[in-house]
Amino acid sequence: MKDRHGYPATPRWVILGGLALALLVGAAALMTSGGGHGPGRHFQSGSSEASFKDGDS
Amino acid sequence: MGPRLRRLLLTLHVGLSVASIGAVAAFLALASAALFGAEGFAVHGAYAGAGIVTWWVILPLVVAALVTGTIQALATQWGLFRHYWVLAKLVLTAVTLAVLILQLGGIETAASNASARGLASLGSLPMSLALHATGGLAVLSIVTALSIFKPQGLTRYGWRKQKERSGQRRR
Repeated sequence: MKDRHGYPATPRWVILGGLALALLVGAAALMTSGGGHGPGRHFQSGSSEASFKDGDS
Repeated sequence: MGPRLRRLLLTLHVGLSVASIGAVAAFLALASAALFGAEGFAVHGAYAGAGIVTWWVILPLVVAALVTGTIQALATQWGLFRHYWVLAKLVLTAVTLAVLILQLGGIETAASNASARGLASLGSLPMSLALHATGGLAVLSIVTALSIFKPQGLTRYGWRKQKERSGQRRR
């Protein structure tokens, strides 16, 4: 399938791959966000948990 | 770029890329051993080893693979932005390097705190390291597959360049 300039349509694997990458990045951003109150609090690293326990948040 | 130099650069790039997969697999083994093992010298040693592997093996290899791949793409007819598979490799490798750099702090924390303060002080860091290593391994495997299969697809830029070149040939 081509557009009116003759450029072939973006391959399906590129669209699906881009969507998958966007979903993964979005999910990772959601999991690591939220500071001390969001869902990210369950997935923070040891150093940031230590600072949270110290009451720095 | 002459064919001999091109093949040499390709050999270097393939060697560096495959070696980085092996290094990440070694990191995953160390992280998994530390995650599932009982606390003791072996676990503390695993995190220390993981830190050394990261700084001295994984990071240089990934950077070198990215640089050699970029040079190769720019110096050959493939180009860096003409084919989707090349662009996808560039993006995925850059994302892998970015995530690796973001994880360096956590890896350093695990390496230095595991023996000093005990594993309990690390919280969810052990699971995070193992998960990130698994993800990195998966992404690098996809990059390798893209190199072999080279799925078809020209970007708009690549398509324009191809048209320009075929137009020049007709003249």
